[in-house]
Amino acid sequence: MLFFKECKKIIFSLVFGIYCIALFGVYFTQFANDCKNPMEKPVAGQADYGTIAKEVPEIMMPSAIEGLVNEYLSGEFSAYPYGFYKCVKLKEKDKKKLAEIITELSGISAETLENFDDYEPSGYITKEDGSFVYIDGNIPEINIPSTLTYEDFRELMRKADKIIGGGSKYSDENIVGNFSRIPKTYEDALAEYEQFCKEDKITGAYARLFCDYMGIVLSILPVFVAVFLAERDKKSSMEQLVYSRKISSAKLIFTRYISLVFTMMIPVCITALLAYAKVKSIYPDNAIDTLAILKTAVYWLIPNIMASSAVGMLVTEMISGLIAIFVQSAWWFASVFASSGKLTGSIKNFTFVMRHNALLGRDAFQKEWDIIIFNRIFFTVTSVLAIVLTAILYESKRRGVFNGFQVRVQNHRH
Amino acid sequence: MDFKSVSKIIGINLKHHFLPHFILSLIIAFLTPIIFGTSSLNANESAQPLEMLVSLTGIVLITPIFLPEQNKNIRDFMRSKKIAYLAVCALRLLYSVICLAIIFGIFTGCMAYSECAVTFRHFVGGFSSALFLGALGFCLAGISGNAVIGYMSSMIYYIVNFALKEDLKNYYLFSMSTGSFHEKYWLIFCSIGLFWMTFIYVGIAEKYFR
Repeated sequence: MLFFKECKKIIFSLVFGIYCIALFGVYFTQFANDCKNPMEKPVAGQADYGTIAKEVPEIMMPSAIEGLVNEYLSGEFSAYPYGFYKCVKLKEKDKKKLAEIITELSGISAETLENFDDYEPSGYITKEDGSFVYIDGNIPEINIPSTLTYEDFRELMRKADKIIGGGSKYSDENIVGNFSRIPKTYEDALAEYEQFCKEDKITGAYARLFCDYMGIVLSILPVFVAVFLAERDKKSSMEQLVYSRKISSAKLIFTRYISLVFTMMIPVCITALLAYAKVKSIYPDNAIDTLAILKTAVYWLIPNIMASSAVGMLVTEMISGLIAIFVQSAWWFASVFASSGKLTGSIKNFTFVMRHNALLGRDAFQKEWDIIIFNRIFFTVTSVLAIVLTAILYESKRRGVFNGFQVRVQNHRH
Repeated sequence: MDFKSVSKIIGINLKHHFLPHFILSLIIAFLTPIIFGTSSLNANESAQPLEMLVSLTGIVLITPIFLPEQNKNIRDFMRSKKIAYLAVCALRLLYSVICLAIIFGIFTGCMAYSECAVTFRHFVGGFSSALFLGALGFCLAGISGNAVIGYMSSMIYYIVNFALKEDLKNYYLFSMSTGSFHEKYWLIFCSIGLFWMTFIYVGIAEKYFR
């Protein structure tokens, strides 16, 4: 049967071996490394339970305005528009626009901002003995107008973020995390722990962490396997032989695709079982959900494998394997680095590499549940459509009406 | 091999095999300032775009040295020629490395112009990371006889650098971004070692079992 033949071909290929090594490598160096010790139950009376980001206007407004004034006076704005750090320096025209916003927010006039020469940045400095000390900087006095409502403040911050170029500390995504952090209480910490044990049944939380790590590599490696197999026919000059066979293009392409996705899921399922065993070993006495990791892996990771393989097959058939690798790598880069600034609660409708790099934070994940469902269905359906297109292109090649884009260029010349 | 043959080989290879890869590497270089900030950066920040993005041009330029001969017809044709196959590959490697250096030179120059604190060390540091990524892909593509294996291995190694900084020690690609430079000597020497080893292996393989 063709399906088993294709599976055998994939499993015994060198590229699949490398794929498995990479997957197991990620499992052992990342996930298993995070599962060395169980999560401790919070104890009453601890000095620090960490902080949480919570939208509190009274905290956020003064600290965000101070941050903006500081950055304005330093002349440099930190931003992560594509996940990477970007030091933004504004043009004079934009600086003027931002000065107007700062005046509305802080009451500091544009002239004061322009002529303020004694600026000193605030922050931590290292003393001679190696200890850190926080120093208050020197900026003009801030008087937030009493007429400034919280809604107006957020709107002005959005405008400031737009002037900076997006991805700044003042964007909707970052402002709460950067300027509105409050200390966690014992009750908060205990509630989170209870949620981890009772609602997530422990493995639910580890399942998200497992998929977070695995999703990074499973969003790019399948393209190599798909391209390798598609190119193998060309390399061994088998294309013409396959073209002449009786089997329909749709059946051939879909069987190949299904066998690709199926074989690539095998090591994922093995690592999911290993992950379950690992979690069980560190929580021997707790009631845990046996299938949680496997279930999460299926709905979270299969669409990634499907999409990456589909890009590999489609673009190889359409142009070349090299371009397929380039396209998938570019997509992977854009997706991974776009979410690198915020590793939880940042899943959007079209986020390809979904991130949730935390054991806690079930609420943030549940809040995005509808988006996640749409997202995964979207990538599944798009992948299937891409394979339909691949089958059409393959059929056109078989009939001799299309031979990749290179031939089209030659035809135009004639 | 006389000068005329060398220039003819280089001309044909540049036109038919090198151009698409060179265009892809230029696209990466042009995209870098959009993704990263490349103006007024300090020394460590300046290393980031060079090591984390422009270094990918090494994979694109150096890994596919053996790619044309993946086509059986071209391979048979190459074998029938008087000039040794490995000599042609060495020429391809030479001009690819030179183009890589040119890309890094221009990019570092542009960063200097944009008031970044870049020096010659940044050029060498970024170039060495790119060279190592390329050499790794070149080596595995040469040994496996398939460029996809080379691309895949280099890409995995690149990703590994984001996760296993401490474990990679002297082979850490992004060391300059953390203020350390001695890893770069290791990367350069290992790249030369990988090139050398691959040529020896491919030479033996061509002679006895390909």
